Amino acid sequence: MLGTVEFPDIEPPRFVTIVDDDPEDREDLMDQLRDHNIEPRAVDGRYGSDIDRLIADVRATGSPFVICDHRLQIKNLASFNGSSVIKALGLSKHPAMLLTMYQSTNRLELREARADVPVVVSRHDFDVSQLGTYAEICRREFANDPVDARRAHRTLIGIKGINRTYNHTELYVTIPNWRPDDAIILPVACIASDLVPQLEVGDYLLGDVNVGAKEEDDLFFKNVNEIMKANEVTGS
Amino acid sequence: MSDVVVFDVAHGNCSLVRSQSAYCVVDAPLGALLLNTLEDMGISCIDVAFISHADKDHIAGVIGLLSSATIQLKKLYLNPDSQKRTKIWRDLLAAVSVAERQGSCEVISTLTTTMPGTVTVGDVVIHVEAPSASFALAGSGSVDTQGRHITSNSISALLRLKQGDRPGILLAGDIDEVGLDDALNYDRDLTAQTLVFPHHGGLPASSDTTAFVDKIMSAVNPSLVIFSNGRGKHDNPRPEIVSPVARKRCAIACTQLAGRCSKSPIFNLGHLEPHRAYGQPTGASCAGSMTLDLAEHGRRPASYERAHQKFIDDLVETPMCRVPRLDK
Ligand SMILES: [Zn+2]
Repeated sequence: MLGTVEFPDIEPPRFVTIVDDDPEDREDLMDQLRDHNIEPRAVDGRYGSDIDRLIADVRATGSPFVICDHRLQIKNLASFNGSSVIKALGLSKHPAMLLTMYQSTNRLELREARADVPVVVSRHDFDVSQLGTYAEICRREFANDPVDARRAHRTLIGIKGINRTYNHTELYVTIPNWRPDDAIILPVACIASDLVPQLEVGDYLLGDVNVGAKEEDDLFFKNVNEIMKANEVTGS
Repeated sequence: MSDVVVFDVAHGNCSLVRSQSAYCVVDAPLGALLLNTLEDMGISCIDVAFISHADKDHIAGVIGLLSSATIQLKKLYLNPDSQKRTKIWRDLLAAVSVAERQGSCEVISTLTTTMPGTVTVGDVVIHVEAPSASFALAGSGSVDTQGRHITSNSISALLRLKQGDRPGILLAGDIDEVGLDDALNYDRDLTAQTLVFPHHGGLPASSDTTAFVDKIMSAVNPSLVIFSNGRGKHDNPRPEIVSPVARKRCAIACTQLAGRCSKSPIFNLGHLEPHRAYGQPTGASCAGSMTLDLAEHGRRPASYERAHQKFIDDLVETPMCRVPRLDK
């Protein structure tokens, strides 16, 4: 997602706080940071659903940057996800990134949250030398001057397929000015709820999408709240 | 001041005309480069946009412009393409419906030598040199007077941009020999200082490549030829096109670095103009995005031109734009 040339040689933060429920993964990350002369600080404990307490503990470490694992439930650090932590930190403009393994279910969950999570990197691609860039992406976003790949534009979203079961709707959509030939799944949670029952194949939605995103997993959807029915489009 | 920015958009075309606070966009492919650039330039209104023809790499970005909430498009010229049953064409119709619903954009579904014929943007006059009305009416799927197939590419609009009587710039869309002959049959004046070469320097369908290059080069007689190409996409520009162009002793600038010119990307891009260039983050730009000064006959600023030539000399292994000198 990142153009390295866009941010040449940005100094990484000197202290970084890690939120990760897995002690082994956490230690591994801390070692990587130490290797780059960055002092790691960890937040550890049992938070249940008390996100405010976790955020307070993170802030108390005094680090200018936070790395948060997405799955915090497995070893019972918390009942909420890392994306909620990033979102909560973002409300007070605290730079933070999400570390994840993109896997089928969690991929759509992340798409729902992606508008509030400026930086998502898989463990496999994590690169300590890029921490300065990750922090800069957050800073730009908080300053209302997001990097190109994170800028939202009002955009058409074409409905290409709908799977409805008794309790679930799955939408396959294309974004004509992103990649008009690639159908992706748009989580219905990203759409104004009154529009969902009206949707039919051939309709279009209008929403704010970061059409400069390089990869499907970098896309986010906001304010998807207008519909153009198929029969309103001439030539249908 | 009047100028034209030819953007490095990878595979596709996109130009922005700026004159006396009036703005015009010609074509745009997918992605956010145009929208981000316009926002950063503080441009909230595009007076007129043109779609040269109905292909994805020319219209996807105009769909974004039509739906944009931050940039208003006042007027859009395009030719209908009755043969187009593509998904992107329907997407464009949806975007036009959105704009019409908002009452924000006047869509004019004819773009020929007679209608509108010419369009003025600030001090710049845009002359539509092709297609003729009868050629556009025949439309893609039919045949021309010589029985040759007219395709979507054939009905590409040829737009000649001029300030005063200076020679200016010719934007050629993806026009092929059939479309070019339509302009030449009507004795259209195609001369220009700078030619943005048709079809990204790809081979023209069903015609002799060298004859096509000869024909367009003698009709336009440019000093600079620009190829708007995407590195790694369709292998453009093709050497069969670049060689005869280079032999005309005219300068060549490609937006991106063709694979044939350099096997590896090049990250040393200090020569690029300050405009966004799609290839910049991945080392894929050659000239990148280029500004052409219409008061200066449609030339590039000399300093950028020199820096680009030095970049090619110093870093590009096998540049197609350099023809071996016979006198060496
Ligand atoms: Zn094209």
